[in-house]
Formats: sequence, structure tokens, C-alpha cells
Amino acid sequence: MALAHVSRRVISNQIRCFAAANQETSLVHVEKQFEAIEPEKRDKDAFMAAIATFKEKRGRTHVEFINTALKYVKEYGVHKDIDTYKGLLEVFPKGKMIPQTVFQKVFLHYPQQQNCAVKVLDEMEWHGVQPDKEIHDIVVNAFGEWNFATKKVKRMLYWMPKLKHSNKYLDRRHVEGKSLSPSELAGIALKMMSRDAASSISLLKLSDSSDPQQKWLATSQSPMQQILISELRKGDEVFVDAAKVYLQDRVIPFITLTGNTKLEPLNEFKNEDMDEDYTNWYADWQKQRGEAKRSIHEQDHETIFAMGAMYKDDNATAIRWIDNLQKTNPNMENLRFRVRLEGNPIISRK
Amino acid sequence: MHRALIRLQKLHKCNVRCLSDAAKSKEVAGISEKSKFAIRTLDNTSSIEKRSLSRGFAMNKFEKDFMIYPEYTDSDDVRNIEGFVDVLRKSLELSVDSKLIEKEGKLASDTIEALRSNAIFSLAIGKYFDGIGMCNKDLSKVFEELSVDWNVYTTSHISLLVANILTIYGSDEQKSKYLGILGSGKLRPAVAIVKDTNGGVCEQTAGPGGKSMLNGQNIRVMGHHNANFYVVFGNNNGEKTCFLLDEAELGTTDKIQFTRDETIGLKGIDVGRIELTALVTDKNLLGTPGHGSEIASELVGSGRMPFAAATIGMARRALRELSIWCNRTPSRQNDRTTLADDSRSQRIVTELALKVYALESSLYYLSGLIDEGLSVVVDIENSLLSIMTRDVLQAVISAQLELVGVAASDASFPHEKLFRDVTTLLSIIDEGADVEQIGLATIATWATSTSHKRVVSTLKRWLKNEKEADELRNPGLSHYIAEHAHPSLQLACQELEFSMSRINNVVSKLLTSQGKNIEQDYGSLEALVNVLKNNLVMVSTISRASRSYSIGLRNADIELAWATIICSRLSRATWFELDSLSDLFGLVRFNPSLLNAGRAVFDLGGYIIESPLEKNW
Repeated sequence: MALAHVSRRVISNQIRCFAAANQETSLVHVEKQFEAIEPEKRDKDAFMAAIATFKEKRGRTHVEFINTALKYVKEYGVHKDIDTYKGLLEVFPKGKMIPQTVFQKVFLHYPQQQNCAVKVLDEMEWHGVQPDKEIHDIVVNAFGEWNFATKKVKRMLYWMPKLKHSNKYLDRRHVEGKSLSPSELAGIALKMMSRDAASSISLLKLSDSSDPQQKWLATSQSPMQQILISELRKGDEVFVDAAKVYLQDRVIPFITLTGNTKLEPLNEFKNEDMDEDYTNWYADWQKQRGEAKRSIHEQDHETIFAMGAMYKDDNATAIRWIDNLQKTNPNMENLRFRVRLEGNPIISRK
Repeated sequence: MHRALIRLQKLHKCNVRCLSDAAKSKEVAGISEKSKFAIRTLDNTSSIEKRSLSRGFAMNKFEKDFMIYPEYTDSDDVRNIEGFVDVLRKSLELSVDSKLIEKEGKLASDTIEALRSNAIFSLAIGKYFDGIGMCNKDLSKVFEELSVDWNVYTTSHISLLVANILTIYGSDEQKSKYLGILGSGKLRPAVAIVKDTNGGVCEQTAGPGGKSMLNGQNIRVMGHHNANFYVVFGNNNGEKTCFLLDEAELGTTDKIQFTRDETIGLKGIDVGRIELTALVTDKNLLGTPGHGSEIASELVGSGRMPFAAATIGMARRALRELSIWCNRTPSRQNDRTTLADDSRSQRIVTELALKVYALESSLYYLSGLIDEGLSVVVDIENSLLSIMTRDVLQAVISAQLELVGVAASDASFPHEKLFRDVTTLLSIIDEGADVEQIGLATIATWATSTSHKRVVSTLKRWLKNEKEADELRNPGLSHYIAEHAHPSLQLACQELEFSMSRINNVVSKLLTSQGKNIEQDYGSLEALVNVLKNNLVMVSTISRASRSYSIGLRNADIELAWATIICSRLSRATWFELDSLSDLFGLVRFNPSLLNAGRAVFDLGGYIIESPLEKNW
């Protein structure tokens, strides 16, 4: 905490020195303030220090400052932080821009400032940052209760919470704002993608904590998939392919173990005509009840036998993954594998 | 037949008159303002619907503020309690070993230390006495975790009960003396089981100078292992008084001898009997002399919400385990499908999940209502919670027996311990709701608030019947409750409104035809209590689902669907109950078959029907 405070003061001093040095020569564009900080030191503290420095000077150029600062939010890594947007919106003067007369209420009062505020809120919405009551109060104190910018924040406050959990398969509270290791992210991604409720996700660590590069293999497989593998014949071909999935804004590479489908394409056409023949109804029903049902893994174009993720996406690591999977699927010894992650596919003949 | 019925009715009225006269002869101690949970009637000084949810519903009066689901005002409060519960859960995971508890017959010292360090013993103790003074919502959240082992729950429950009654009824001296050491875990209380006498007596003989002699045999108690503090009730000429006995302060001639019973479950706490002889003074007296019954009701009443919370926690864990079990176990019909694909399994779990949702919504609704500090009376709702809790406990056991199969009785699985613990728990905790008290309190308030007058003329009554029967079938909307909830819940809100209108209709009809004789009509009172319980569930699920969907909680769409299913079923159940109550000729109502079979079993010493194989010649 004390260290952060000290670093913030150092950075503010840096910016002030830079501004002072250039003041006697010419007007310096606000961009230069942000450019002046070295890339390694571009973080939240630096950004908030820049805002604090601007507020001290209290110039008339707050719209220009905010527009410029918005261009740098991603570079400074603060695009997902609500405090950043609060800081930027706080730059607007309070009370001065609230419309007083009927004409001011009807027409867009302080249009440049309102558009600037809406740009900030748009950026916030684009990066998926959930607004809170404080953001609403800041905008209301600046622009009044029912203005263009305030309506924007009210709409955000209404819709964003409703759409926050629209992905039913992922609890984003486990992902956002957390620094997760690649294996943890892979586990969450596999859980999101595994739609068979009986799937179990396992993690095999190949190195201990002293190893600088953590080596791990993750697998997601359900009992049904194990049955499907056990039913394959000797010499059947299975493929290991790579794919990518998005977890919020993070890209997670994963692999799949698939085989050719053995079933007819699924005919989802339902016959509307009622079957009026009741002879052998009970026996037919009993028989149909005992028949094998198509599982979710048996798709029209392929059958998925397992999914996984690895610390390194190459064929050699994929072979290790297959070896690990063989411990729980003995029939895999009799199958032929095509590992197609990179370059020439490795064909293993067993 | 008709003459026989009339004679039976006259006999009823004679009995009632005798009982009413008997009641007048003895003064019963009134309920003090301190008691939060003892059932009472409300006067007409202000609108009933603003003070009591259930009574207002019975009168077909609606207060829109009851449709707002109570919540924390600050998100930080939610984060704080979640953090607290997270830490508690982890320390319980590390320190609780159920098999060891059963083997040793007590909680391990690690577990006691985990409870003490997480301030479980001081949850209900005010900050002035170095406690946490948690609000009811927080308490419910914490107690959800404590049912990880029912022995842990019961230990915490007893500390909570004692802290509660000390806070409400204790003198300043008693509070400062006992609350501190109770919170630190040094005081290990045991409480006389209120609902169970089983031949136990505790006589109080009053002496001069405020001193009394307590002599008790066979007093059933339950409490911490190696209890050193007892809460007992002494009987003095029919008046009950509550006494606190601290083992450290017993005189040389005083004696408390505890004998532990071997129970099938809850082996980690002490359930047993005490023989006691003690000289007690005002310092040992809790509350005022003669108010023991009220303290006993408060003792039982204040334990209902934590019990419901613990049940919810247990049900959630059970549902998670059932989900894992059913998803991985092959179905009996087909090797390639699982139990989870069977319609039967889905049906069983549907029933359980809906009951858990209803109980959870009602519990947090009630806790939030109390926390808001408004002048709302929650006596009836608190009692109704105990009916739902028992229901959920039985449903969890039944679902596990049906789905888990033989593993449910296998000692190597955790289920059979759970069944044993729950069986013992239900036998010692929570005497269950008093149907007659709830029913009569509601009807009495209804009668005084609506200034009800009996229609004496038979012709007028008969003419009114047709109109009332039509209103029962097509109640119509008058409050438009749907305006106060999310539009998706419109159907559910309409069902609730129909229920309210029907109850009012039927209660009016009952009082018109029976008047005070309804005191004897257990069937009607029981039906009314069921209807009130259904109403509470409907209100809490509608307001909860509406809030969840409006603020965009995860899986809020499922909540809407569940709330609608629950309300449509409960509304039909209510209609069925009320329809049977309002039968025109009184044949069903005056037929005392509900009680007669039980009466016959008691009077004739058992099940007295002849075997179907018996011949007569």
C-alpha cells in the first residue's frame, strides 16, 4: 500500500516535471503526457496519476483530455477496471452542465461534453465492465437526471446486469478479475464445454512446483465416452485435433479426440400422424425402452471420445496425453491415432 | 341419520361450553412484549395487513411492501458474510470427522476450536457482551454450513438458544456473567427438552426470602458434551418457571446427576436425563416467576430459523450428491442411459428441489423481514417454517432412499448416519407447529378485525351460500398483485390473489355457521394452517423470483419457472382444502373422522380391527 502511494507520487512528479519543462517552449498535446511514461511503467497508478495531475491544473480542455485518455486505457491495462472510468467521469465539472431552462432540457445541453461522456460509457460497455450506482451518481451530478448521457448510464444499469449471465455454461465470477494459471483456465474451459453432466475433469501434473515451466495435462471424459471407446473395433482410426475456445476475452487452446460417426444422421423430423395401431403396444414400448439411445457425444459428423488441454500444443505432448488416457481406456491400445496438431500428422500404428 | 347428526352437533356444543367455562376459571399468564415468536392475537389499533402477513392474507387484505423481497442494502455486507462463511466452511472441512465423532461420542477438540475461533458460540450475543450480534440473514447463511455434521449443528444450536433467551429475559447481572463465557465456549449449556416429559418431573417448592427448592427426576436434557450449565423449568402448582443452574455455583448440598442415553444418532452431543436437587434464588431465576411457558415457547421458536437454514444447507449438499450419483449410475432400463435420464428420478428430484426452493425463499424472506426492524409480527410465519422444515428433511431422506438404493443403508456410505442423525434430531428438537394455536390466532384476529356478526336466519344463510359458492369458483382480482412483480409472474400472482379471496370467503362462512365452535373443529384449523403455509410460500417465491430476474441473477429464468410451478400447484392445493371446508351441508366438516380413529386407538388400547381372515361362526 505504502509502496503504491510512493510510486504514484514519483510518477506524478515525472509528469509535472515533463509538463513544466515543456511549458515555456510550446503547447503540449495531452497525448504526450501518456506517451511520456515508459511502457513498463504503464499501469493503473500511472493512469490515475495522470488524471490527478490534470485535475490539479483544472484546464478547460477536459473533453480533449478524456478523449485522449480513452485511447490509452488498453495500453495502460486499465480497460477492465471500473475505477478508471469513475476517475475519467469525475473529471467533468459538477453541476455546471445541468440544464436549468426548458430549452436547455429539450436540446442537447453541452453536446461535446455529453458525447464525450457517452464515449467513456461506450468504452466501458464494450469491455464488459459492469456499472454501479456510483457511476450513475457521478453522471447525474455532472449532467442532470434525464439527459443524453444519463439515459445511457441508466440503460446500461438496466440491461448489463440482465445480460451478465447470459452464458449459462460459465460462471464469469470465477474468471473475471482473477489471475488464473493456464491449467485453471483450461479446467474452467473444459467444464464449460462438457455438456455431459457425468463428465469428470482431471488434471495430471508432470512437474513439481520447482520447475519454472509448469507441465500439465487436463482431460475431460464421461463414462459414456469410455463406453463408446470400448465399443470401437481393432484398427479403427481416431483423430486428435486442436481447437480454440474463448473464456470471456481469454483464448484457451484445447484438443479433442474424435472418431468417425457410425450412426445414421439424426432425423429430427417428427411424424405428425398419430399411430392408431394398438396391437403389441406394451411389448413395443418395452422393447423401445431397452434400446440404446443416442448420446450427446455421437454427433452427425463425428463422435467425440474425450477433450483435453495441454501445457504445450504439439504432437509430442499430445502423444503423452493419449498415453495418459489409455490408463482409463484399455481399448485404446487397439486403435490407430492420427495426431494433427501441427505440421505432418503423426500416425501411430498399434 | 339426520336426527343422529343433529344429536352429535348438540353434543359437540355441550363439550365446547364445558371447556370454555373451564378456561374462564383459571388466569393464564399473558404473553409479554419481549417474546418475538409466541403466537398471539393482534388488536385493531392499526391495520392488520401492515403488521402480519398471514393474518392480512386470511382477511383478503394486501400490503404491497410484502412483495418486496428483503435484501442487504450494501453489496459489501454480502461480500462480508460470504467471506465469513467461506472461512468457516474450510475450517469445518479440515476439522470435522464424522466417523471420529461417532466413535468418540463427542466433538473433537479441533472441531470445538474451529467453532470457537469462527465465533459460532457468540453469533447471537450482542456486541456489548463481546459477541458478534449477527443479523438473522447472516445467521441463516452461517447455519447452512453448520449442518455439514448434525452434531456440530446441534451444539451451535443450543448455544444460540441459550444466548437468545439470556439476551431477552436475563437480568443485567446474568447477561454480564454468562454471555461472555458462553461466547468463548467455556460455558457448555444443556437445555431441558421442552416437548418431552416422558415421566420426568421438576417440582419447585417456594421458600422464604425468594429462595426455592428444585427437585427433579428423570428430566430429559440435551446439550454440549460434559455440560456445566443447565436451563430447566420448575413446576409450582401448574405454573412453570425457568431456572439457570451453573455447576460452578452449586452448593454443597446441591446435586445434578446426568445419565447419558444411547441414541441412534447425534452421538456427538449429550442427550440424557438429570436428577437434580438445588436451592435456587433470584439469581437463578430467568425472567419472572410463572413465565416459564413463554420462555419455553421462545426457546423453541427462536430455534426454528437456524433449523430451517441447516436443513437447506443439508438439502443442497444432498442434491449435489444425488446429481453426481444419478448422472454416473446406469439406469435400470438401459445400460447406455443413466438414472438421471429416468423420468422417475427426475420426478423425485423435482419434488425435492421445489420444496428446498420454497423453504429457502421463505426462510430468507422471514429473516430479512425481521432484520428490517419494522413492527411486523412473525409468530405465525415462524411456526409455519417448522412444518416446511420437517417436510424437507423427510423429503431428502425419502429421495435418497429411492434413488441411492442399497448404498443408503450401507454403513460405509454417509447416508445411513444422516438418517440416524435426522431421526434423533426430529425427536428432540422442534415440537412442530401447534396447528390449533395458529388457526385460532388467525381466525380470532379475523373475527375482531372484520367485526364479524353471525347470520342467524337460515334463509339468509342459504341465499348467501349460492353467491359464496360462485365466488369460490371464480374469485376475480381486486388487488392486482401482478403489478408489483415481474410480468412473467403474472399467472403466479393471479393464483395467489385467488387463494386470498377464497380464504376470506371460507373463513367468513365457517364463522357464520360455527361461531366459536370452530375451536373444536381440528379439521378446519388444519386446513386453514395448510392454506396459510401455502400463501407464505407463494409470496416468498414470487417476490424472490421477481427480484432475481429483475436484477439479473444467474439462473433467474429457472427461478421464474419454479416459482410459477410452485404457485400453480399450491393454489390448486389451497382450493381443494377450502372447497372441502365449505361444503354446504356440513356432512364432511362435522364428521369427526379426522380425530375419531385416533381416539379409538387410544381408548381401546391399539389397533382393534379384526383380522380380515377372521370368521364369526
